[in-house]
Amino acid sequence: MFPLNMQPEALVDELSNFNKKIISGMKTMSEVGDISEGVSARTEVYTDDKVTLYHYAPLKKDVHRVPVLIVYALVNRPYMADIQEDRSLVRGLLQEGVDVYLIDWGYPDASDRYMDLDDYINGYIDRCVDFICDTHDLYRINLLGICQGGSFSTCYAALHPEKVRNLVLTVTPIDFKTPDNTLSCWAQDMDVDLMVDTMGNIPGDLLNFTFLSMNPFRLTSQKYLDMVELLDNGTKLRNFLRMEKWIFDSPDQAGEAFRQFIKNFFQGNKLIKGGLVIGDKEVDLKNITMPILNVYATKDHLVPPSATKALKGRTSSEDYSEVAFKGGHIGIFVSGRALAEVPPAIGSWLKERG
Amino acid sequence: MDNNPFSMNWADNWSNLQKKMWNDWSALAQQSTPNAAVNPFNFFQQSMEESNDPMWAAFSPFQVKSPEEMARQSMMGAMNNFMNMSKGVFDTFGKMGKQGEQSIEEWTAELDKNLTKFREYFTSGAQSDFNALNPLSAWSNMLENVPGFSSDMMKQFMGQAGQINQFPGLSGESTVEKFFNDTLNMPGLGLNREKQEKLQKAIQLGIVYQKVMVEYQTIMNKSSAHAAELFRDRLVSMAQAGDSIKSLRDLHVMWVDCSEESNAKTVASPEYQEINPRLTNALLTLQKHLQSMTDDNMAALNMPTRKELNSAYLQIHDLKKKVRKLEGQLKNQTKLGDSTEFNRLRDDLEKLDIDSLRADIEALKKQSTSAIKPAAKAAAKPAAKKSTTTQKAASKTKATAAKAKTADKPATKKGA
Repeated sequence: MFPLNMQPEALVDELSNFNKKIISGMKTMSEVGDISEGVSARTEVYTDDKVTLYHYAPLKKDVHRVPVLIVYALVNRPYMADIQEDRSLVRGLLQEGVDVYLIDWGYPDASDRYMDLDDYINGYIDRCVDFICDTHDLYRINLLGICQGGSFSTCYAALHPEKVRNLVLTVTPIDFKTPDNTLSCWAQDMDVDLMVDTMGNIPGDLLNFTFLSMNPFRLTSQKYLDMVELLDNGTKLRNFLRMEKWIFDSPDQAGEAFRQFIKNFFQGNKLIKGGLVIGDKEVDLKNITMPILNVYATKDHLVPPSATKALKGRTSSEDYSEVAFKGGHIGIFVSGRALAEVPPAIGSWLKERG
Repeated sequence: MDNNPFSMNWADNWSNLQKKMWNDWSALAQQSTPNAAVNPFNFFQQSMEESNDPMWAAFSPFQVKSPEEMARQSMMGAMNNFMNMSKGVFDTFGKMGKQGEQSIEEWTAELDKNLTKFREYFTSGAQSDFNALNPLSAWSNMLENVPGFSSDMMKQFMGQAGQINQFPGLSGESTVEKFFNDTLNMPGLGLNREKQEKLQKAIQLGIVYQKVMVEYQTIMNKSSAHAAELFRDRLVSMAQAGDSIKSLRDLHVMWVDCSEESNAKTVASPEYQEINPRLTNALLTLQKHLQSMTDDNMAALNMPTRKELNSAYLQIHDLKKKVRKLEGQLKNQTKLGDSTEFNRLRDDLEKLDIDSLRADIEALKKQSTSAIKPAAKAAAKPAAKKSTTTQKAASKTKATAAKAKTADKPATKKGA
């Protein structure tokens, strides 16, 4: 028998309910109000061009002596790490007694098209680290890199090991040429010189389009059909819209930094092969001696675990640990299970290491 | 009228859904209209966007929309897909009658027959409403707006090309293509020679881009056809297992699953990984050429050009780097002594303090414990006991400090 066993009455009911939800949902949508960017209390403590360094208000009396600086990717906004109260890596860390700082890269414009990786890594990150060190009378702090920010943090730790006490990486690409890395496959034959010379800065929406291309039907059709089910629940709808805002709130990429990142990391895979020069120094992973905690997501379709786990054995650190989370690239920051597992794991790992 | 529920009707619904999805995908890429004030070649983008070219739109400037607005638009798109699918299902059921009672063999044979038609439909280039496959109309729209081209001339030009009634093919040189190439290879003459050659070059690059786009679209069409095959296989598996789909929503999920599975296979294939960068590069080459034409126009108007602005940005960037370097040097000079040695000492002190304090506390605890031991035993050799405890605590402190130094050594050494 043909396996579409749908009763006409049931189908009419289904469509009728669907339409009702949409009609009432339009009202909820119009009343949803502003969508916030981050939820935890924070203070702007340092600015440098378009970059802002935030310090989060501690949630515990006993705050860990050595602060953590979160370095996010350039491609999205960092409030993913603090997207809502019950889905916040930052909040989870604060509850663990970690003193949290975060770099917000801002939105580069045409005048920033010549900013390169040296400006980001030896410039902005280094000056933020110096600021935190001066504030806390320390000479080194903990770094927590996320995604591309993790690759930047790895480079920074290799270039300035004396300033990094512990290195925490989450969903961080290290080996950019693992066979299961679809993004990397797409980037191999891309003429990045032509792209940057033509466009200057690379539009964030272009990168979003690329990410959506990986699952176009699910991310542009099924997702919104599922959203209809949330329309009668203001809180759930607001949470959905927060995520939606984050996904499409993508700053443009400074042209030169993008060029260098694609050429050196994706195409040249120089972070592990060697020959990566940032500023006037070569990034040598063997310079990394501090303890490393490498957190990855087992179902990450953007940064496959193989790309992350490649760090093991490539540094001089004698204290290397991995934490596997059963989830995806975004889930590691927003799923309830992730937040029950990941921040405590990071918090206790840091406390054990001073 | 064909009353077989599994005939082309099913394939039509499927293809309509795929086309709708493709159009929505294009619409998503075209989240904004280009900013005419910024881009004098607005005409070009607009005409390309009108042709539902998602690649072009993806590379064009975007306007930021609120998440509610984006979600609303996207939801409406998804809802339309869903409704289209639902309508198709209702139509099918309306015709179905007792034929739904057919055996697996009977309806799979019908499905396979339609899949063949469907595959032909998607891979033959017959679906002319996929505008990416109709470069002539897109070019006609575009060229009419090109400044510097005589509109009458272009109308005539396009009219002649249209009469030939062929499109540029995937391989070989079609009649239309030859007509384009011959015309566009004519040398420029007179005062506007350079300008004319640049325009000819722009059109040639546009043709290259369109040809690659056709190749790209063909690959994506194959992916759609493969998705339909996957859908058929799932239906057969379900029937064999005695399972069935009971809601439209489940049916939609299955459509998405099949399409995603097919898409994942396509985008990981060598042919996609070859065509995707080629398409991007073709588009960028065209854009770069258009930018140089824009710069020419801006210079003619005595306005700042992109080239000049870039030059200024580069100089500012270099100057900022120099200033940062000088600031860094100044900062380092104000630091006292050898900072590496100083930091090493701080490390040692930090460890030493904590560990020695702990050792002292332990020693004191032991001391107080021993003090409350029987007075007779304590009175026997009080001086000697105290001395031993202190010595033990002191030696433990030294050992801990030495251990702390050893533990931090690699880090400080590397830092030096």
